[in-house]
Amino acid sequence: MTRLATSKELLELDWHYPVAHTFRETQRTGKGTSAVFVEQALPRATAFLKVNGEGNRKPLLVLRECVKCKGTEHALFDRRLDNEKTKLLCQWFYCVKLPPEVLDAKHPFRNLFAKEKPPHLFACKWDGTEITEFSGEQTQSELHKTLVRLIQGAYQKDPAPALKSMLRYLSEFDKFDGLLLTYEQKLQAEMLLPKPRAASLAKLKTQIERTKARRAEAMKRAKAVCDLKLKIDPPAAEKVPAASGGKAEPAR
Amino acid sequence: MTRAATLAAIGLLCGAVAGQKADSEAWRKDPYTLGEPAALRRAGYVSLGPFPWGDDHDSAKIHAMMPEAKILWIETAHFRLGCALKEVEVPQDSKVRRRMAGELKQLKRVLPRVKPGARKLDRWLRAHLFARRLEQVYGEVLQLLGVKDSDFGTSGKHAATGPILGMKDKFPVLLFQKSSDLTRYATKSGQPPAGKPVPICVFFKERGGLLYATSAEIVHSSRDPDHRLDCHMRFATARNLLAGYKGFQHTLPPWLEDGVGNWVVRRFDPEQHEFSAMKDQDFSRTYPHQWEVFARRLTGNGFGRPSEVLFGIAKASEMTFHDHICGWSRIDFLQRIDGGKKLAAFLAAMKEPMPHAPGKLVEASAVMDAQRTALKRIFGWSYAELDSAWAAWANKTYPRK
Repeated sequence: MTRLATSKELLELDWHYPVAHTFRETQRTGKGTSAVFVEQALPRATAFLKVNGEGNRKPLLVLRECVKCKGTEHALFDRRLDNEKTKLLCQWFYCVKLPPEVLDAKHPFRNLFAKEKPPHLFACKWDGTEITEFSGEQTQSELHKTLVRLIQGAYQKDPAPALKSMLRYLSEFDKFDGLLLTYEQKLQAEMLLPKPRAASLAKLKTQIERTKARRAEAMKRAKAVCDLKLKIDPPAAEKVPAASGGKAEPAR
Repeated sequence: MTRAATLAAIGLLCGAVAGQKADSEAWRKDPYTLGEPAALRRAGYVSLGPFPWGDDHDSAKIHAMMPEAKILWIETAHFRLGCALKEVEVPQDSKVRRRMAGELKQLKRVLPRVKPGARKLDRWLRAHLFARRLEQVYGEVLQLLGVKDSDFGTSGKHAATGPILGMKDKFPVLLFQKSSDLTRYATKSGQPPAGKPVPICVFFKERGGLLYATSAEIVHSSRDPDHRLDCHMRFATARNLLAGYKGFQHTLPPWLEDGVGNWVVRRFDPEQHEFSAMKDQDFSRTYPHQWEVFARRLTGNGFGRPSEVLFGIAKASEMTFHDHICGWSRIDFLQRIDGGKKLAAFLAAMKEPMPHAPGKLVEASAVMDAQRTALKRIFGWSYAELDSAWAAWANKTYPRK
């Protein structure tokens, strides 16, 4: 299914690419810019703090990019499917992409991953607890089960009704975008004529404004439906995630 | 095991480890110059790195902190290039193959090991191609500005400014393959997070360089990715050079920056154009390229915005597709009326230091006023007179369809 602009944008994951240090932070005083800084693996708790966005309380989805796979998101998506449900579920996560070299012993974020058989992908609470690891070979339904469980733990509302509504909204947005594309192409063609026809221009402009207004209304409703409201954690001592990974993916 | 056998075994192991390390770094060796000084000189290069870069990092630090990007480094007369593009195949289209063969033939003159009939552009070849292209754009922009290298630095008409077109340092350019690497670099260099991966332009205040960094994924094209990126970089480099001309002091109006950028791109490929931003831009759409025809129609059908309005637009995101056409066409017109001498003077005037409150940026209104003044002083035109002259010229010069 080919989605149009609005749906495509909604289905695009909001990836974050955290780094352990900026160049400035690694600058040794008086040594100028040419000192070669050697990174070290951070302790697991610090690594989780660093990959989280400031004040983030959404559950985490952490993907290790892959040089061998076609595209860097292969571990998350199934090439045979349209993956729309996965993409929609991910909007309730803080999605982090790490480079393939994260498994190097000295990479600052190495300790986010298990030492033995590090997963390609894992999902967990924002603080690194309740981790579920995935090899990249998981089925979509296994992945969805975990994502939904974590969303239910983090948010006040269940994602299922929102998911069902959003799949309908995507088709609605495609309808609006299709109409807008037609009207705008006609308007542009008319505006580039040596003698544009005022009546045609007026009609097309009205059609465009009306369609945009209907699309904006639909977007407002979609956003309201997607607002599952994060639960507010009661104040507690800072949790340190477990030293090794949590529940492994079931063997087949 | 005897002592001799043990020592031999250790020697073998060390050799194997050294061999592995050499293999893992083999990508850094340039097969076209072999790093030889004579070959570098012939190519017009200063070095293959490491070299200075930003205020708080050099190319060695970028490599140390981002080894996954596998960046290749080339320093030319005016640029420092970091190139992490992947190998691509030359498309099967005969027109594209001919164009690429022509370009490789030119490159072979300075890099004899280049094969003009290459069907694949390996990583180092892509880096060499972009190094050459950047210098080509530099030459074109010098021509547009009516200046020479000797006008900058210690003597010449712009002696008070830096030696590289007015900048203290060379222009750094970073070409990543992946948007993830671009975003990580941006974060490491302290840039505020953007919603989506976007090209970045950073002024390194202490070093005096003006960086442009982007990724191939941002300008993705499945048909001819190298050409698409080439066009994008010509546009972006022209804009960046204009921004750095006579020192980076204030932002120019978007009609002028994008107009000059598109002037460079469309001379290279009349079917290509770029926008730094556009109002209601539809990224899934290919915008038509017959800009001469459209510009002619826009002069007379009431839909081309007058210069009084166009020149006052403060952000490219407020410019429509027609505004971009008209901005480019103004540059095209002004460049052609007297061989570009007055346009060069106008651009020089627009890059003069402008009044501003201490510690604050130059106000947009000061830049707008400078345009009006420079237009009158250099061309003898008001905005309305410019529009009349432009419309008459466009109707005489551009085709009807």
